[in-house]
Amino acid sequence: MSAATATHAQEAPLLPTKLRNARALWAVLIIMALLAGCALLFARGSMRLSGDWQTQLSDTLTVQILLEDANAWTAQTSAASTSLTDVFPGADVEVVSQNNARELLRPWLGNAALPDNLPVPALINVTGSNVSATKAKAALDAAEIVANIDDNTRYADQLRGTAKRLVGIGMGVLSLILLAGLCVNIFATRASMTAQKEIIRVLVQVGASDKFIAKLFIGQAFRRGAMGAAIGLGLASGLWLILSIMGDWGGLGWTGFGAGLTDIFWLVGLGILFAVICAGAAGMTATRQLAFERKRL
Amino acid sequence: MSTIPDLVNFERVALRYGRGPEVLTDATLDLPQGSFTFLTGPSGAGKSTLLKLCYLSLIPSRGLIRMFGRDSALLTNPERQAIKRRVGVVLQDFHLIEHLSVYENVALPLRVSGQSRSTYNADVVELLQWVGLGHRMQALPPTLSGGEKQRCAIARAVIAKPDLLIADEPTGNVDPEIGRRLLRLFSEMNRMGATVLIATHDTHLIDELDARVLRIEAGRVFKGKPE
Repeated sequence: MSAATATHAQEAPLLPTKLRNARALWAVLIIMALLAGCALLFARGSMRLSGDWQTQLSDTLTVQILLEDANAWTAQTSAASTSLTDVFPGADVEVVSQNNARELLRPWLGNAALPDNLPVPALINVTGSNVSATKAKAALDAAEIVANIDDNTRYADQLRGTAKRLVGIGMGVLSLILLAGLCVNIFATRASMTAQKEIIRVLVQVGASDKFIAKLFIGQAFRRGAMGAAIGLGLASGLWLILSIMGDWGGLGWTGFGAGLTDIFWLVGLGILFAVICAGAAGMTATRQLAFERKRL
Repeated sequence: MSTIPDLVNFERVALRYGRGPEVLTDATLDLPQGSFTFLTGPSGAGKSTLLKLCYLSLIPSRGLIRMFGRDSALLTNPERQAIKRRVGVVLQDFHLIEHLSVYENVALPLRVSGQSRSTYNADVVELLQWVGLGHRMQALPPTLSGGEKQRCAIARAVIAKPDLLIADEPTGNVDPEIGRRLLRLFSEMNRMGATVLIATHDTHLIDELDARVLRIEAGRVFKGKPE
């Protein structure tokens, strides 16, 4: 080989790239990344779903007109509809039919025939982006209609709480997986240092600092983590895509291109975090192990 | 009268492995700067142990070792690494990195010290040709013969032009011609200012040069050739 070709050849990595028994470690890293990706996508899906539901609920009011006389149903609902249409011009005001309103009482009153003169409350659903319970109440009061207005606040609060718990579960599982990834990498770095004891000895002999040696293990772990994350998270996004297309996930899956793209960005961030955790664990372990070996000398 | 400073200085140095007996007892020696010294003695006498102490691979059980004028026990980590970079070592079992080519193994001390390949490439190639490994630059150590491994290890030890060159039986696995050539390389390094310490059984090798001789017997160091 001439001097010129030696110059152009690339510097070989100081740590071997193909390690025996590293396949099991690869498998563990890929599975962890896959699980972490699924946990993140689940948490993101829960957040998205909760947002959608809350938006839908905040656009809806249910007006319950309390009738003293069943015969006043038509007059009262007509007056209320007019008032509500006036105050919310763009909104959809829908009067629930008397029969349907009576049906809603069945779960509480049983299957017995209801008397015709029973003053079943009249129901009006108002749907629109600018609906407000306060304005509706004021308009109905002005029309001298006695009514309760349900703006679904309690239901929305319950939904919000449930969604928060789901997101918390997803993030908790994700944190546990990342913690496990940290531990696996600490163990893997120790094993790798033991397997490459001779190389470390030579490096120390030629004057390599602990920092120099630790950097080799950091680089190795970062590459391993990044590759594992790329494969595992790629599988997670593939799985999520299939489930979104095939299954009825009602918004938990990807409902459109925008949702999918945003989640992919989150997965890329997770992949970087995963690789950084692998590298950090390796750096910490290598530095501590080298210091320990020196003290033991 | 000017005195030549000692590069290495041992004062009543002893070493035991674990709770075993002392392998080295009250060893007192000095290696003046620019000197060429042979260390001889029977197998198991403690030659390799003494060399390990010289290149800071072991810490003595007692006694004082000064390296480059510094008490080795008081060296900080960076200082210890800086001293190691000034010492070239050839070990009996070569300690070559098996997945690196001959070229990469020899260039290792320069790479570790942060030099770029373009700055050291010509030196590495020239040295490998000099030690007769010019045609084996891309070979991996497992494919080398014992003599080739030894020459590779020697080339790695001298590539960074160390101030102190330590070799443990450096000509043990090579034919007499290559042995003489390697000895010439050590002499050349010495003429260029390096202090050389060679441990060997080979009395012919010792006779080739007019150099200081230290002998080690039962863990104690004496001056002069064995009787």
